[in-house]
Amino acid sequence: MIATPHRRSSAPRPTLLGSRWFAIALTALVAVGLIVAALAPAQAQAQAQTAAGFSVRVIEGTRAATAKVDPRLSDLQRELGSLHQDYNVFSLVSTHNLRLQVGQRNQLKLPDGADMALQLLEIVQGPPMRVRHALELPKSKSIRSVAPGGRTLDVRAGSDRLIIICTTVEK
Amino acid sequence: MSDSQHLDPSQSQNAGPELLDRDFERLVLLADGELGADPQERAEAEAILERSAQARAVFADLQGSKFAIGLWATGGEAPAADVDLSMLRGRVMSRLPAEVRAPAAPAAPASWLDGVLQGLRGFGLGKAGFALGAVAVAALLVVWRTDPAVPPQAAVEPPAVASHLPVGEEDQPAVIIEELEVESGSVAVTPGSGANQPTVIWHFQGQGEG
Repeated sequence: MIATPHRRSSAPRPTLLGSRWFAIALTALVAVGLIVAALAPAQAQAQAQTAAGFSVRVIEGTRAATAKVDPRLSDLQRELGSLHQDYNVFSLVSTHNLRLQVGQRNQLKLPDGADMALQLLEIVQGPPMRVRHALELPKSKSIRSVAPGGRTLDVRAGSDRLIIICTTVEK
Repeated sequence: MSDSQHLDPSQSQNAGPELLDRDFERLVLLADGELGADPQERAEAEAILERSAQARAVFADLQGSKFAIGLWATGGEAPAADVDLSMLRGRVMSRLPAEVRAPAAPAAPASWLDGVLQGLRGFGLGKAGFALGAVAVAALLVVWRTDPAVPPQAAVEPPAVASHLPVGEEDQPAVIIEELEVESGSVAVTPGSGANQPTVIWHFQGQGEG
């Protein structure tokens, strides 16, 4: 009987990097990474969508011999000029840049002593995206749905002056 | 050692002339079929067989050994050229040479799924890897469907409150007054003349107020 010598396999032993389990672990790692990458922007967007920015400019209009409009109100010159023919001087009293969370309410004092309040109610996803908010004045309250960049002018007409509240929803 | 060495002295007495080494070599060549090209050498070998019974016995042994070796080498199978096909005459008209096979090419995947599995096998993965990838894709789809950035269809519908306010970039008014509560005085709304024009809300105070 001829004894056959035991022959060792000439194939190289698989290393850790070439093993099947390493490939499976690598695939799982890539899958988890993809899921995390897909979740991260959604989470960041969800956080950003719970708040909205407002720019509130309080403007005062009076009468004078010579018409004058504050240069900082140049974007509203056309609207201010047509508001009331008896008021021809418009000046920017204050500017408030507000960042409100949903449900948050912010109160401001107007030049005539009255209070106004701005409350963020809801952010409706678009398109088009809408920012629902409530604006409260001493004798009125309105709920508005405004697209980013949209502006409203609330004009309180008094006997001797106008109080104008320009509310802009930031983009 | 002489050139006339006896191969089998025990048979030489009744077997005619002694078989010389040279004659034996000729018989070996004849048994191997290597004398066909030279008619003279073949004739000499046949003459040796004719005059010597010992030579004929040796030649028969050579042929027997050659046949046995051939059986061992072919595993008992006869060469195709030696198979007698006379019984099949009428059915087999000719012998067809075997076609030379082209080297086997890697099988093309029958479908996209086979292609994916083939690629995964090349990476060291099999069905388990494919299943893992499918789970990952399904998870991504679930994430995408639950992404708050992709609103449900109902959220895209226009608001219930109709508005005559200026038309925005998306053919929707930029400002919509949904609700308006007035305790005293009056309120008037003047929509902007364009998409970038503000909506003006006039708040007129009642008499005696202010």
